[in-house]
Amino acid sequence: MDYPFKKVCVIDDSEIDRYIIGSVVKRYCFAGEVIEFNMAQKALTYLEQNQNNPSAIPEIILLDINMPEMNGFEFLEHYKSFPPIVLSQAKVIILTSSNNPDDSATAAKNPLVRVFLNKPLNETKLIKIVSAVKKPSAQTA
Amino acid sequence: MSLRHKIWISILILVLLFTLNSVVIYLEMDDNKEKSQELSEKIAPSLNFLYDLRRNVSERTSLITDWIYNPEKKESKEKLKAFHMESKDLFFEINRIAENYKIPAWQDTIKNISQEFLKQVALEADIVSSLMSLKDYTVDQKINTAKNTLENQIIPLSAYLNKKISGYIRYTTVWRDVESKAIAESTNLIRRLTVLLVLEIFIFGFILSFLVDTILIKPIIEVRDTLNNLRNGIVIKKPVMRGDEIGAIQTAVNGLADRMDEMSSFALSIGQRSFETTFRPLSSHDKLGQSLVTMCNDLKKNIERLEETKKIAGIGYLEYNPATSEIECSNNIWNILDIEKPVIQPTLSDFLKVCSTEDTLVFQIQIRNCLKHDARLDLILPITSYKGGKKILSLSGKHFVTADDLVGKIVMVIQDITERKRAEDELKQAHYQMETFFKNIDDVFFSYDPVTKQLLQISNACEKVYGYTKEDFAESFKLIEEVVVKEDQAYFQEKKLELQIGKPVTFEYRITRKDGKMIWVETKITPSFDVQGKVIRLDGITSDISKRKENEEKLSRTNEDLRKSNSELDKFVYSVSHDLRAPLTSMQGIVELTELETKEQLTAKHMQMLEKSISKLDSFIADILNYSRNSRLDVRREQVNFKELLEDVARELQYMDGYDSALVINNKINVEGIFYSDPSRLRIVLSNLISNAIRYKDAGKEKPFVKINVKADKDSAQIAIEDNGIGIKKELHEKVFNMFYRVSEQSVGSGLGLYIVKETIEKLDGKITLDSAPGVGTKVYIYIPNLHIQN
Repeated sequence: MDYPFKKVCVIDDSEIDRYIIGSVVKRYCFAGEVIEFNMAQKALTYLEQNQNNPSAIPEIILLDINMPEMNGFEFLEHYKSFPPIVLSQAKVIILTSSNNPDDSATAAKNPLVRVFLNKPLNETKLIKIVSAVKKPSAQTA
Repeated sequence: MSLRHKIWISILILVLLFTLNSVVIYLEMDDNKEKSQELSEKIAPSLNFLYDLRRNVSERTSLITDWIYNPEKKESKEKLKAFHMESKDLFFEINRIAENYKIPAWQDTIKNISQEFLKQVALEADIVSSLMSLKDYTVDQKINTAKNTLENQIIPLSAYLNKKISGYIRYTTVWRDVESKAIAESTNLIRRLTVLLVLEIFIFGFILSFLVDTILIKPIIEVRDTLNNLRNGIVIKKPVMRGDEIGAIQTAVNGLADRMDEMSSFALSIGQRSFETTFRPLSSHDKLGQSLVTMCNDLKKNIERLEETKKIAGIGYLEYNPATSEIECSNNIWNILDIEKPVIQPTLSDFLKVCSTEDTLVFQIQIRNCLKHDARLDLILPITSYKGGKKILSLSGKHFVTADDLVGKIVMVIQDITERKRAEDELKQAHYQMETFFKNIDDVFFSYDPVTKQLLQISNACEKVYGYTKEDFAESFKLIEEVVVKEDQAYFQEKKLELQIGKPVTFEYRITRKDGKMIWVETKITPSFDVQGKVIRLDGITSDISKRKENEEKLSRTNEDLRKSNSELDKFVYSVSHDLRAPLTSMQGIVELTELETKEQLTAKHMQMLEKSISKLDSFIADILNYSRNSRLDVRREQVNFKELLEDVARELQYMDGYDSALVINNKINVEGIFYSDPSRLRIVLSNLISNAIRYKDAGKEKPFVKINVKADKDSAQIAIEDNGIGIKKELHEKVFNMFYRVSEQSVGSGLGLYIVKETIEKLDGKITLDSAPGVGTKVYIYIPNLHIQN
């Protein structure tokens, strides 16, 4: 089966949201595999461990903002110092319930963020991700 | 005929006469000389000779007689012998004389005489030779022949010679007399001519003197007199009688007299202040004329200026004649009195008319004093002018007496000091007000002279503020510095330095009052400079700002609290909104999934209803969040990109219910320059209004639309949002903006939307109006100012 992406990962503390995202991705055959992390730190650790293993690195990171312990922006702070090969492979998409313009502004300023999307994820937003990722510059929804 | 010609001609004539005379004299004298010469050389000697000859002849005769009859007279014989020796000479002499006589007849006669003389001589010789010795005398024949010769020849010959010689002598004498007469006459003539010459000299001298005197000296004297008169300023002209040089001099002198007349009348007219004259300099070399004209112009200008100045200063001049009560005034006096200059001679009463009765009395007393005691006249006189104007005049006067005017006049200078008085009064009042003000104000006013290091003044309030009195400060101005608390001393000195370089300073610092209390004060000091830029005075005010400082601190604390609470509120709001929103989005996600997965129509329907409710809740939360932010947050001032803004809003709204492809959203944007406002707030406004337009579209209409028209310039932006939706009833146009107002139960929104829009627009200092008709559509007009001006 031909998926737009082989592997994507979700970083979200809400179980329900992770479930929704996973279902939507599966439903629309967006990706072959979905890795879930309920904590940003866990995602960092995974990426770090697999930095020399390209097949383990996801192509899309769907990142939530509001999470306990380490939120989405803090994750990006740590993530930016990862090796370029990881950064270029794993492209970050922010997926949040926040409609706080400060958040979208901060995301826009961060070059790592390709797209800023509001939950819930749906077909239209998936298409947006695809078009955003295939282009070099970042976009906000 | 010119004088020069006259003189020349006279000289010529006289010289001619001289020459003539002299020539005649010369000729005469020459003639005379000739004649004299002749006389002396020819006639006189001839005559003398003839006399001698006659005598000789007579003597010879007597001698020969003696020879014969008196032979013993030896002298006679000797003499005769001597005569005989000279006879030839005589003979030649006679012939020579003959040459003197021009007439041939006479020459012949002389020659005849000479011949006869010779004969006589020969006869004598015969006798002599015959009677040589004594013996001869004894011979009678010889004696008789001798006697016979003597008697018959010698004596008649001698007589004949005598007669002829005498004739000749007569003729010669006559000739001599004639010649002598002629000479005498000639000499007479010469004498006469010489006398004539002398006379001529006299006459010449006389004529010359006459000429010089009458024709030359007299007129010159006249000219000299005229000039002398001119020099003394008297102009007397003599009429010109002659056309010659003297006449020309006289004409010139007359011309000079005329000119002087002109100048003096010019000077007179200037003296009388009449400057319009026809006097002109004669030429570019006429220094005097030009100086006079310049002087006239200068004088005119100066007098005009003086008049102007006097007018401006309101000064006039009045001369009072106590004898006649008449007054002479400058024009300005009549100006001051607001009346035309009187045609008839004005008197003092004309002036007194403008004074009150009491003032008139005072004035008259002063005049009397001035006249009697030579006191100066000085008074301030309030008047009511002829036109009713109330003025105040200042009068200064003095009594002047001259040699030919013993009564004298009072000369006054009068000045209109109404304005000045008014200003003085106003100043007095202002001073009084300021004094009162100063006394009562709580701030310390002070002035300090940095040059003399003297405190010029300090207001009473110093006691209130500092606790020290005016006297304490007067004693030592340093007190002002001494009371400054230690920590603020350095700052105080810094400000002092700034003052020294001429900067006005305002600064706050703490002082210790006399009672030991520490307070905050604020001092403002302004320096004053002299023309060279040196600081010559410092004026300052010190205020007790303890209250203010207290308030400032309170305010700062309040602000701090407010900021804290604001930020807490902010966090709270976001945290609340997020916590509210997150589950909602999750719910939305599940609902969507269920919709996708279910095959049950009922389930799908239920899911849709659920979605609607969730949407409602979501938008309500968003509304509350917006409202909260609008109320609390400051208006941001940023560049607004309307195109981007509208596109963002459209993008957001594409998910909402009612949004479909049938609905056309039209944007028309016209922006001049840069528009500044709060973009996030604008977004809320636009989002709300456009979503309303979408929500309340008229399903019955074929082409539903929303038109957004933006026009912005450097002053403001006008936004119009128009739709052809279901519209709103007129009565409800005002109400729709109320909080939680919903038009009908069918209304989907929270009722907060338009309220938030209105509040937001007001926060941006804008205006919003609504125009709508049910079934037609709705138009919303927004006006917001361009926040480009920095406050």
